[in-house]
Amino acid sequence: MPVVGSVALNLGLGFSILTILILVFYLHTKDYRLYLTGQRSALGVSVLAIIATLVLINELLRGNFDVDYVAHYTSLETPLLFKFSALWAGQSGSLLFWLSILSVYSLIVIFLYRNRHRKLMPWILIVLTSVQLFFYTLINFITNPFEPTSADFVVANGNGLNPLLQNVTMALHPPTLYLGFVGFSIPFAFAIAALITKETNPLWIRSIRRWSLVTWLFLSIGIILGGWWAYQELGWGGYWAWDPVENASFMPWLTATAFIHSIMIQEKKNMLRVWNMVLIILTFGLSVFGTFLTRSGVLSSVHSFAESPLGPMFIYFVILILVVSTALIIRRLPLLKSRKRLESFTSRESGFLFNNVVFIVICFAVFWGTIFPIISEAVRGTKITVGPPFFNQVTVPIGLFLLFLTGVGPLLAWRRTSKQGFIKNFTIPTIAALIGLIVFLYLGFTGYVLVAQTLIVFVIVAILLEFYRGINARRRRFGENPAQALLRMIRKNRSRYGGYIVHLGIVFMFVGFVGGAFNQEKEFSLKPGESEQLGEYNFQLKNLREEERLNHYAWIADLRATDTHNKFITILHPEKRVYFFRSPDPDRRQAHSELDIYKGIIKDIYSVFTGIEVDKNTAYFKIMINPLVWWVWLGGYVLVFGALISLWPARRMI
Amino acid sequence: MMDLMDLLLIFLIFVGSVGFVVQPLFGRSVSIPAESDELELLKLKKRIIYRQIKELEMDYEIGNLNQDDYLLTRNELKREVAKVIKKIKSYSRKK
Repeated sequence: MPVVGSVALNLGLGFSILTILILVFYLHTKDYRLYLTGQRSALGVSVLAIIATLVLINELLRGNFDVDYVAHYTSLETPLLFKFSALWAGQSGSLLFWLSILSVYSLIVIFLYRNRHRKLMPWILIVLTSVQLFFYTLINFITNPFEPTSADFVVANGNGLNPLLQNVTMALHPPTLYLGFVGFSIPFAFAIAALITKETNPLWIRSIRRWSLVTWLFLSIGIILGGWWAYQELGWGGYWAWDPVENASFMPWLTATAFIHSIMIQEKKNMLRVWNMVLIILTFGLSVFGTFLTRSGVLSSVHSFAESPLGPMFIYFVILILVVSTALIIRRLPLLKSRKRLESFTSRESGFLFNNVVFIVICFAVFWGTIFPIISEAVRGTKITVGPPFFNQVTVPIGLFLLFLTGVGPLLAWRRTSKQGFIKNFTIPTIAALIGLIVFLYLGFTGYVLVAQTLIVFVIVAILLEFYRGINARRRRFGENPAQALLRMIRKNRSRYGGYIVHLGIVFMFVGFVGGAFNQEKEFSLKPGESEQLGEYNFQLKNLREEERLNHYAWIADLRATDTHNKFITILHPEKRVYFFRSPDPDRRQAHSELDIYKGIIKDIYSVFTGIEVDKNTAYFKIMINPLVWWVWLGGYVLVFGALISLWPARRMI
Repeated sequence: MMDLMDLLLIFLIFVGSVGFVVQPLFGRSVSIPAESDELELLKLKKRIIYRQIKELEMDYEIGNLNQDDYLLTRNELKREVAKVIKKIKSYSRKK
């Protein structure tokens, strides 16, 4: 069966070259039969990628260890769900997964726009197929997931999946992230097609706005799930470490967020057309760059990057994208330049423009901090890593300014805000923020924490005020009760109020980020019956149990948490596990700490079973008290809810 | 080793996909369907301006805009939409 997958990949490669040639030929001859042939060939390219992916999934589930990839990432003991998620655990599988998601998106594009965008569609298909061709080339010639195992004996069992990846969140995180990454290929293809055909009217912008929002939502969910996984699984007590892999997903998110704001101005005012093109191209370029960062091995060492042709090919591809796109933008500059200008500094358009600049500045800072170790290693031979302190120092003040803009935006009117309007809209949020400031000062907060908390109050009041005014306006006009007015107001202005709800989600996340400043941590050892104090909590080891499970051996601690008044709070059950414990080779055995978290609105109690001395019956723990982390996840839910409201299709009234 | 089932599948995929792709080339010459993007674009512009007027009214009602700015912008948008509607009508008459 793997040979079927391999042949599908070969055929896909051939068909993608054929598709491009046929469509180019169609553009010269205008024989519509050629377009239909090219369209069908593009369908074939996508279907073949999906077939290859299904074949690999089948091999993973069957546990066909004759295939090197299957033997590397699964074993007989791997649970079914993680056999499936092994599809994106390794390099070749994840590249095939990238290709298959792009193929599904391409099929949707072909189906949705089969009778629309007639001038754009041939070029859209050429661009999408070119991206598919790139991935087909990588998979066929550099890292083929159907490669047979090189062992000269029958492989009875595989290596199994890394225990850290054997987590439900981790099974969901990469697909959502990839749905986001890959989805930006569609706006990119539309943008390039528009530049080539000089069709810079708002029609295509309309088509990609929804695409952009959907893919942005997937990327957001992917990033949040990644944070959730890191928090639950890695055991260092945080959810964001400015790791290059995290940054790889954060950079396109920043440019995409800028884009979904500025695209509104293009749609409404036909302004920022060059800027939007730049943002689309940057977002797609950063998505491919992110895949390169995570998949080329460049992060572990520049030398490992040079060992495989995969990394250089990615770099050439990113350079090609940037050079071709920039050349096209420069060529079409006279066509893209807007005749309209910003009418006032105090307008919503200006607010959007400011927020765009801030997003790009943050993106540049993150980009520089991410590639600096690579550049330093390449130039000086020594890797100089810039850790979280660099990123925090740069991004925290800019992030706070962005938070401020989140509150200011809704208070500004389109075109211009009059002096009276300005005073009227800003008075209540400003007074609320000042009261907040006094209270927080009184409570002893200082520095960024104080600024962040004050801004949080300002933004929440500004957003709630918008809701309150909207509800009141409807009540005055239609005599509705508050609940009716709220629901109808949102239903009739989904994009606007959905956006405000997304902003509210972001503010809740900031509440969680602020909590990080007050984390407490302690490491200690306990024998059964002994206890230890951290902050206002006492932890007593009640029991230490052992259990043999399907794919690991576990020591489980029953850790009783009480407060200073000896009031019972919870019993935590962190575990120390050993995977591949049946392996005769001790080097293959892999220790893993499965932590347990007691979650609360105010604070989390985070417990890690760091080690055990079986002969001394002593367990080692790391306990952390993490305030307000719950708000980060709440913010995530609110963000998703708001984005779904914005995306929900409205009945066309006109 | 490739078994018979694999061979059969590969044959089916190859023949099926090649047949599906080249089939339009054996049909009669097809003319390119009429371009309807222009009318679609005008309709879209109309929808966008109507939405802008709706949002403007909302901004006015909730107090984000004063009366002068509201009336000025509303009249501009109305003039703009009138032009678009005129174009749509003349386009439809031509058809």
